[in-house]
Amino acid sequence: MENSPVRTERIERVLELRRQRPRSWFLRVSWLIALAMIAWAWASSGPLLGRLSAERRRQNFLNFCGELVPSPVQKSGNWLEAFPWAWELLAEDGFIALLITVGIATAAIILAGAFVLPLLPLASRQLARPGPFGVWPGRGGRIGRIWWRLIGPATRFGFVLCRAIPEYLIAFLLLSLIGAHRGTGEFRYENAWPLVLALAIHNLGILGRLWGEVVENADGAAPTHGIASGGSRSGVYATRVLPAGFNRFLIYFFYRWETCVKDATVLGMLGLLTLGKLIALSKGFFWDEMFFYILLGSAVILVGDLFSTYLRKRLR
Amino acid sequence: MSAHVGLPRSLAGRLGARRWVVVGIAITFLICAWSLGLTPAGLVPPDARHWERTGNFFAAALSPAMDYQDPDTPDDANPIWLKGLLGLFHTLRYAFGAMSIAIPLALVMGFLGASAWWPERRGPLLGVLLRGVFITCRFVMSLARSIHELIWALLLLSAFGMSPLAGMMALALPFSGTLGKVFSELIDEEAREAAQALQAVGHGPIQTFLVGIFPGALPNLITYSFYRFECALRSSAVLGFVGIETIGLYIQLSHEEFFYHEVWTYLYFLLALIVIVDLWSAGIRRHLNPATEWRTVR
Amino acid sequence: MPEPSFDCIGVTCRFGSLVAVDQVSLTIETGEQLALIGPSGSGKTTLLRVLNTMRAPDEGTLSVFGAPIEGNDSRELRRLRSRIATIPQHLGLVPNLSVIQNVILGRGGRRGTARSLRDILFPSRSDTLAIHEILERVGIEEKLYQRTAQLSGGQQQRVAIARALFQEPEVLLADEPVSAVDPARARDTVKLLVELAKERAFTLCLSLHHLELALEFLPRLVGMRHGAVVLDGSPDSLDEGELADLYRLDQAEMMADA
Repeated sequence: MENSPVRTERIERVLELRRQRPRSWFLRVSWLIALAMIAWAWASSGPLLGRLSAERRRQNFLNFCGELVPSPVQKSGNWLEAFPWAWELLAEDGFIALLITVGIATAAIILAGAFVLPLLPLASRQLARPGPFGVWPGRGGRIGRIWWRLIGPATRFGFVLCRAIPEYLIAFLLLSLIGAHRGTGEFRYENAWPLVLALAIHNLGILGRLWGEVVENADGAAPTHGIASGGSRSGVYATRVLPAGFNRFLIYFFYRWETCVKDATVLGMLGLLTLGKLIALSKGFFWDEMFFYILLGSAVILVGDLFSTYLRKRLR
Repeated sequence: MSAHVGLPRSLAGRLGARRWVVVGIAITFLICAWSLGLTPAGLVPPDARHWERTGNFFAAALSPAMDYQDPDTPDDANPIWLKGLLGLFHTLRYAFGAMSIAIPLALVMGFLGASAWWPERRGPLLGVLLRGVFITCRFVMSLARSIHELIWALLLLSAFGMSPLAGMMALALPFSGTLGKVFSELIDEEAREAAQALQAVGHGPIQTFLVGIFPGALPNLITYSFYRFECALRSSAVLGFVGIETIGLYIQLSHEEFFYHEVWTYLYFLLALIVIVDLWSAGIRRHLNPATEWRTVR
Repeated sequence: MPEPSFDCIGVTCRFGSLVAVDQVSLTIETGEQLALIGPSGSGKTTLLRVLNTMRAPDEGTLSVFGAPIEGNDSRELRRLRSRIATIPQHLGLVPNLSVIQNVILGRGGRRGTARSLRDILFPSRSDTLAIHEILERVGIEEKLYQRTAQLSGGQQQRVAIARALFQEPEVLLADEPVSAVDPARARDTVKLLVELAKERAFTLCLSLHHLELALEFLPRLVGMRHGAVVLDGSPDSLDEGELADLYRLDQAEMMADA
């Protein structure tokens, strides 16, 4: 142990360092707000479990669970009868709805990606500025300078707006504007555009953010070299930034695809096309069929999840 | 000033094997579009009635309602801006409540679904047990994730009747699945080196987790939780469409009556809330990771 | 005569078909300072892991502090490891914890989980003062409460050294402590480690691939190549040709790299 005067000095020094240490009031205030809001959320919710008595609720719950069991099994008690019943549901509407769901999700995410790719350099902090990557931009070009100062934040804000609106809302609104059906008489079919557009717009914002982060965090050496040898922003973006980030782009792309399938399922509840439509139709009358369709959608997503995980391992 | 480099003559050569991925994706899109019957005609309103509606709708964007459009509104009803705020409060309530359930649940599931804290030398029995718990947890989380919040809401409301808890659980269950999965991945990927270093000087597995792995992963956990909270807000708004009272419900009701100005009022409220939360979340990210902040390249 | 810190006899480690450590027999006495030298891939890291009991040898025996480790259960191993400090190649610090929090974890092996948690959240006064003293010794005392991620690479290395010192070990194993820093800093670090080893009387074993540093500061050099020990002695007794051979690439390697 050190002797006393040295120790006292040390204690003082440590206390001084402690006083100086970096503190973030922003984080503290945020933390407090979050806790306060959580407490308020629980306290102000009124009767948490609703107005029914515990006994009624338990009864409702058991009844409901009973209804979920496939109807042939309910009657005969034999679970093997579930298979032909499930097969019929699949063959009639289920399988097609499933394909449509996946189709809508796929079309939407591809659209989103295709439109994000050219917009991405406009949202990048390094590329969308008067002198990309900090390079001297040269003299003059006042309008050009203003453009480059504004386009970055504007594009990023555009992405924020796109992802701020829930896709269900966009679809809901678009349906009433674009209309759910096309064609007449025999050739009448359901228009998939409202759903595809809704998903595409929403995911435009999300991919813009996710892919944008890949671009921001990427190593600046290669693109700077591109500029140094006379390249333009688009040239450098296409030939150096994109190839470098390609794998991570794919990872995010498939992750969003998976979410799109889930969302596409539910968008059908607006009344058309996907598994959601079947779910909404059978709700209230055929709980067992509804449950089957729910599990069907779930199974597809689980498979997609496994595929995604496998892909991520290969792309790392 | 700069000569235009442009794309090299052989983009295929530059992309290499990746070009097949791009081509594959393009072909997939065409197949989907064709089989879904997506035509340019499908993008625009089909008849005069719809065109009128569209025109009205977008025109209303510029003049959101300051007052109720329904002439039958009782005189003592809340002014519309207050109703909008209340709608936001309800939305926030469900979101905060759901996250306060989802985060602890996800921490537990994330811990059990991670393998970075397993002791390096373990007997066969312990190994099997750990593996079993690991796989079960991951499966349960995936299952919870795969069912959309709205469907959870349908199920829970039908099973338990309308109640605030049902609404919160409808959000909390799938979100704890997503959060849990991300937590377990963060734990497994981000912290292996520190964990090994600590085990090398004699820390036990749980000890390593609590003092090495968890504090190390904490900033990313918090950042991701904030992102999830933003999603919870959006989902909470959408719950309005199944009857739970959030701002989505007000939007749906106004929309049914074609009160587009009111719809836009509520939309603007919702947008404002989400943009504010987005900014807040960006601030949190900056303050949590000061060392990795983007620096000007100069 | 105290027991040797480490006694390896015929230790071999394999990763699949690759032999990382090949029949190594090595004795390290208490208080010795030695450098493990050799090109990358020669098995230095694996050998250090074996010495730290983090990996069991596939063949051969290892005795630590005079006792063979074969029969040890995990509790005994943890006790052993708490007497051996390590500085891994990538330091293994927790980036968003502060310096004091990282250093205090050095003693976590001797203290239980509950105490470690308390250490992180509310470090005791005596610990804080002791850590400040150590940080002074390694030259970064003003960084006591700084977030580790905000320090430079060289400073983070000092934190790792401080953590090892706080552990009050009987042995310090350092894996390539200077590979990522510039030559001046590298020299300072090796010099510091050797000084500390003499001051605090612990056994020191560094792996290095800077030959000049090893020759300048360490009294014993053990050269490894393809997992086997090919030379072992003090700088004076070693032949220049032997040392050159250590790093020479033979035809097959050069072709393989191309």
